[in-house]
Amino acid sequence: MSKSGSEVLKQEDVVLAVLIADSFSIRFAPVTDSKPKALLPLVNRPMIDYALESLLLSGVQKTFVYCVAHADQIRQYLKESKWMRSVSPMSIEVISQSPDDCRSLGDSLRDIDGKSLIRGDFILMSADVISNVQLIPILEEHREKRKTDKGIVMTHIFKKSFPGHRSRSAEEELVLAINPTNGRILNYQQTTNLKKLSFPLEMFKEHGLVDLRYDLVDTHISICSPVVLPLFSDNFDYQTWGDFVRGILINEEILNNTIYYHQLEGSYAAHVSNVPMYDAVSKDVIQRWAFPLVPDLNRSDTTPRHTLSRHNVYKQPGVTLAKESVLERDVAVGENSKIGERTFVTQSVIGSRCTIGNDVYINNAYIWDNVNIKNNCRIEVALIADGAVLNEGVEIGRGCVIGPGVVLAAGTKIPDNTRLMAHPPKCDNDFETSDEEEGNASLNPYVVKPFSADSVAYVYQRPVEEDSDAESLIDELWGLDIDEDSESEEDEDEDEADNDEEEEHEEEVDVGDLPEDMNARSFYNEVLESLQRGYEEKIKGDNLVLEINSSKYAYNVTMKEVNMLVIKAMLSLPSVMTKAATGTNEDWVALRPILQHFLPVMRNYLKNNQSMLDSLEALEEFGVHNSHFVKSICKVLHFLYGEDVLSEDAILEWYTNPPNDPSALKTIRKTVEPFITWLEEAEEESSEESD
Amino acid sequence: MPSLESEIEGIIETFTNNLKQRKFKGSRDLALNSVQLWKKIIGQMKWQNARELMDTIKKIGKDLAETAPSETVIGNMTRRMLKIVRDEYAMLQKGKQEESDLQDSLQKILTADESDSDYTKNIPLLKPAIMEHIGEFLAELESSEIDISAQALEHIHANEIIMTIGYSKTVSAFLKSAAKNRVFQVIVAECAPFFHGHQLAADLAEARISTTLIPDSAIFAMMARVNKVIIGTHSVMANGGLKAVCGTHTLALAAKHYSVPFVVCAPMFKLCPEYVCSLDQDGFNQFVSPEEVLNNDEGKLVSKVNVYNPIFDYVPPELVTLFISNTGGNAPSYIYRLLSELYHPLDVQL
Repeated sequence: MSKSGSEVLKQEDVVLAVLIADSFSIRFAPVTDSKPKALLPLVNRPMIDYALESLLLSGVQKTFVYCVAHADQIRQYLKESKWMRSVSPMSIEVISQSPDDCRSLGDSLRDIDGKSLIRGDFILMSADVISNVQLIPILEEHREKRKTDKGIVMTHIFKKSFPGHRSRSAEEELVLAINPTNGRILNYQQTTNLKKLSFPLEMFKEHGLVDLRYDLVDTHISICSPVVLPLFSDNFDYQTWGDFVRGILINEEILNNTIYYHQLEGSYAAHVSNVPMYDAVSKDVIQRWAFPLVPDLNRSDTTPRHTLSRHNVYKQPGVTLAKESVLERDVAVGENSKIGERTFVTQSVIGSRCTIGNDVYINNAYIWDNVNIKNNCRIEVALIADGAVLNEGVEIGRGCVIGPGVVLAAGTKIPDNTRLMAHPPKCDNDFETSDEEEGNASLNPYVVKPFSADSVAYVYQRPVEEDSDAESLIDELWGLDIDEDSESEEDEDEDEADNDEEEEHEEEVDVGDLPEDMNARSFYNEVLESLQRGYEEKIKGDNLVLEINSSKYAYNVTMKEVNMLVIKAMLSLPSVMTKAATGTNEDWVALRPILQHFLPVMRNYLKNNQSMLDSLEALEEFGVHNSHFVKSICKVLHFLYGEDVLSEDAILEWYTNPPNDPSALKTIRKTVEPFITWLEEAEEESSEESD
Repeated sequence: MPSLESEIEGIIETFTNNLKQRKFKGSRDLALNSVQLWKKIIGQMKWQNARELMDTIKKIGKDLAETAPSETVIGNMTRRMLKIVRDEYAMLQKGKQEESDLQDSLQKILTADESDSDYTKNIPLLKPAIMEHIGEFLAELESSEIDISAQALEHIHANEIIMTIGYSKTVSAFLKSAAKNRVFQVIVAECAPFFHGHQLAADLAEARISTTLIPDSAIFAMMARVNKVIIGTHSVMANGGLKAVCGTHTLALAAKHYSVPFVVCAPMFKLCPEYVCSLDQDGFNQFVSPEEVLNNDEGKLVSKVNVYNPIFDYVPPELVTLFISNTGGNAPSYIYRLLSELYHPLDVQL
């Protein structure tokens, strides 16, 4: 048994771990504004407890907890917990650093290096990792490898999860090139939003066998050689683990350092990187994948253990269930919580001392401690932090995050993907009414309108980052992914709701059947923007094509969609620019110079028969949804035919094919009839002539 | 309650930690370790009289049982310690054994009066007497496996076909001991999804016993030619029912259908004075990670299905023919008498 501090052991013999109790991200904002992420409860237990427990179960003897944001809270928590007791078999040392001095994983490791606390191999783990991995055998494997490879700096642990798995974080998709014979990592690339990857040819030349793996998930646990710390110190540009790996691989020949990978077999590890991942990991814990880190075996001095009953329903002592209330499945309810009559709860976690009224519907929600939910509320796919109050009849949309202390007045309806907090945001945000008054709030579109004077809630706006597009997209996926088959209708509704804000300029123009998926929609918006700019600034066609093509790759849309959407965007351009589109003549008058300008773009895309058919289809769809356009469709067709953009064959083939939308028969087909007959006659004439 | 001295706290912490890390191999190992833990605690703790000691034992025992709720052995050992304290106290107090012996009627056990004695007298000889008793008990635990396997020849006859399931140290020793004198055949059901049966089959084959390993689905088909089913169990409930590895119920039903004797090897420390409460069936069981049933890497499937992986089966007492304990063979209906010998009725509820 090891006693803390006092005994003098050779440090190489002690199994050391460094736990980074900060994720250096704002994925959980506004919840993390007042509480460190490591102390956020996951199934009624702070996340850091899971991390420490898994280190303890692995047999780690000494752990350095490195905290940055809200360090005092973490220190206080650990001081009072069982972890810091003198009899604990794992001794813990808390190191804290102010957030100004430490902004990334790299900074914290440089700081640890500066303190020269560690001289042996150590386990590096993030405090938001939930795992039941036995780390000692992997540590030994790492030491074994050193015998054959002196340059080994790190063994990083990955878990196999096929695409579509809920614990694959959309933010952390990665492709790994490894040498299967010895497990060396040869290349590492993050693939979020990337569709093409390139690998250096030398990699394939040097190594006889190369495995490219897309089925791995980063667990954020690594076994590090002591040399890792000075490596971080020497390279000030290493901020994240990814930077480090890339740096090591690039400098491989010079420094001769190598990184190995370890794939978990039969054990569980996941990293709570964002809210959707919080959802996935909570479910994994409830469904016992993380055994023995499950609610009915976890207990501390302050919190009693949950009892388990059928269908993974966990209850702490003192839970009151009123008659006809239902805890359907995968539910955990904390100490002394009360659940009212006819209330239905499924796949959710309810914290301690919560009061939930009658006829409440809770599905896929994470409700923390001391939350008060009154009668007839409806909560689906949401996270509600400590001390929030939901008065009668509040409805919370999918993917919402309700910050601590928020009070919602009776009957409030919160739209999907809203993040609320209890205090007004800082003034530098121009969307917000920091001097919040009721009249003001109802005018401002960014504050939830139906809030009455009783609500204490402000919309949280994520600070704009360089890659914010990708992020917000990923965050919004929460709630969409779940039950995608059974609830596809609802999903569509949600999509529309999502896009309401961003598509203000399109209100007058209904572009028709835009594809449902978000990618094509965003692509369309992007194309519309570049075309508009292109026309206004008279940008050359080639450059526009380049721009559209790059959007195509970014959003991964098919060629057919590109053809259709580009045409649609061009047609809607006049109305977008003038915001008024009535009457036939002006329509055509406005459209003609635009089409003239974009001829090179169209020629580029409409090269073969199929693409022409696509564009004709788009024309037709556009016409169906914008009746005023029908009148000018003939002119458009004639113009495009005259400019050789559309071939005669294509037009005739389109005309003979039945339209997708039956209503098109009456309107569009009828309008184009004279043009078609003219075409046919012209063809006959020409054929006669050639005879 | 006076706070525990830190040294004792340290011992307990080490024990619970070992428990969590699953360092104990099998329930006999766990029983031995927990008795040794108690020996240390009782030896090192300062206590004035038996009442104080018993209160502390109860408190620590409850805490230990909470750490691993499905390990009934821990609770059993706590109760045994309390019983030892009670016995020794009564012996020194009255110069004779407490009268709750085999002569007790069921009525007496149910209505045991508390006023019997309050255990508050300070008896200086109590501590050495308790330590000695615990020492005897440890010896009994250590020899329990040998005692059981010594009876093997009474139950296994020449050329018989024996069926068993999963892996049990006791059964393995039992069969090996019989194999020294008799030639017989063993069929081992592999016991999915943990497949501990594979280990037993390998063990027996190494001891030159003719062994056949079958999948669990073949249990019923093979039962017709089996002469006897011999299994181990995790614990024996108060009504004579079993808490045994998942799949045992199937085996017991098949044995019942073919009227094959169903023999259970269970040393006395596995006797548990608790019942399976029909309200809390799942609390009795232990659910582990579904990993063995469905790989976690299965992609979309994982979020769409609910997988449960229970470790135990409850086998009702009417399906059990005979218990073989270290003290001899007993029928399930006799378990309550054994329990009254082992534990004091007031200690049943810790």
